[in-house]
Amino acid sequence: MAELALSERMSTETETTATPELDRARTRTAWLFLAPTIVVLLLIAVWPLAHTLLYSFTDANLADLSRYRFIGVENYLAFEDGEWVGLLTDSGWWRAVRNTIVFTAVSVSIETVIGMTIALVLNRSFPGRGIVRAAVLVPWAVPTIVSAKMWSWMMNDQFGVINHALMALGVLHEPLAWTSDPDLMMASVLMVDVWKASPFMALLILAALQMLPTDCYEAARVDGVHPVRVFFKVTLPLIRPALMVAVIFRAMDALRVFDVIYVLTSNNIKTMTMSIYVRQQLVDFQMMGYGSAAATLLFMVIAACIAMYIVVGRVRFDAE
Amino acid sequence: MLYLTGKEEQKRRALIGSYNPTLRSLYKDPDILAANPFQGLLYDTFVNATPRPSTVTRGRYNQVSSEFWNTVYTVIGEGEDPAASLKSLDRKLRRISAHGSWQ
Repeated sequence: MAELALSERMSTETETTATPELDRARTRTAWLFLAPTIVVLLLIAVWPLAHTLLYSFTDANLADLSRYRFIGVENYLAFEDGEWVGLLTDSGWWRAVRNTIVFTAVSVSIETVIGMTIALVLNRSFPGRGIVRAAVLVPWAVPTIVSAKMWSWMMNDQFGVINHALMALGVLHEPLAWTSDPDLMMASVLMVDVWKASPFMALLILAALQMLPTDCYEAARVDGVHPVRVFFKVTLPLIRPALMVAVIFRAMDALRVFDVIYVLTSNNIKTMTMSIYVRQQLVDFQMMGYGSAAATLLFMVIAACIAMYIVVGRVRFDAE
Repeated sequence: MLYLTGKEEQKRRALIGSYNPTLRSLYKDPDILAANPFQGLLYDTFVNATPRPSTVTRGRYNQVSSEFWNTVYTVIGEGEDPAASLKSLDRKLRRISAHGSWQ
């Protein structure tokens, strides 16, 4: 929506030939069309967000939400009995933040590489391409709860098909507890997430690849440039804007990941992400105030990560 | 109720269904030990067991349980030092309980 408003404003600014009267009319129409969206956003996004922020300054308990006191920033940081307490000193919270960032960095990197590979293959024309394109999207189309539960059964240490297959092949001598061994858990959830989200990356990159002009490639072919060099010198720079946006989408998804990990490893501290931490505080511990504070920090951590990415990656949304 | 908790019935249930008896003497019973050797091992476990502190901790039981679980997990699963972990668990439980008052 913001983009729409932006382009609307830009087009009115650039057209110097239009009369001021027409400009005003256009702006009015734009606001008129935007109004329903703004109202809905206020109701479903801004209001709950403001509510969460408000609760984060209280000691509210889920058991009785009508009674609460405002306690300032005590949920975040407070000095009690000679030591600092609160969310900012909670090792469990920082562990969850670290888990989330590691999960995001690793999963999005692998997904970008695999997605790119799939997209490059699907961009070629070969017999049965339509079917393969549809098939690739299946992991993304399956609801996460379903696919995560499926993987958790497949990775079960006693009757899981993965252990069975690896042992039949002679790779393993004894079954592994994929989702409960402390050294394997993170790798397991990463693998399932990569399996699930790579098609999404492939789809976005494929869309970018199909928009590319063909003349650069013809020129490269005439000059006899090596295909690998063509990829790094022509393809990659051309799809870079779309790629950066695709990475932002995935990173935002991965930073607030909940379902895959919760289904596979539940509340375990080894793989607990920020969202799982928030849910545990809010629902399991019924601490509405503290949980809301965590939810607010989660929001800020994600905003900070994405802002950093946009600045460092010099992503421009208006360039296209 | 008397019948179900009686020695004869508990022994029958232990022999046929491997249900753990509630009478101490049955854990030394030769017939049961012959049928289910593992139930002999459970004797020490049950004699040294304590009930979960759900009455004392009330609304904060989940927090206490979770801290307890996580501490045991880091000691067994990640090889943390048990003494240091216990100390940190003690500090956490003191804070959760508001110095043992559970208010």
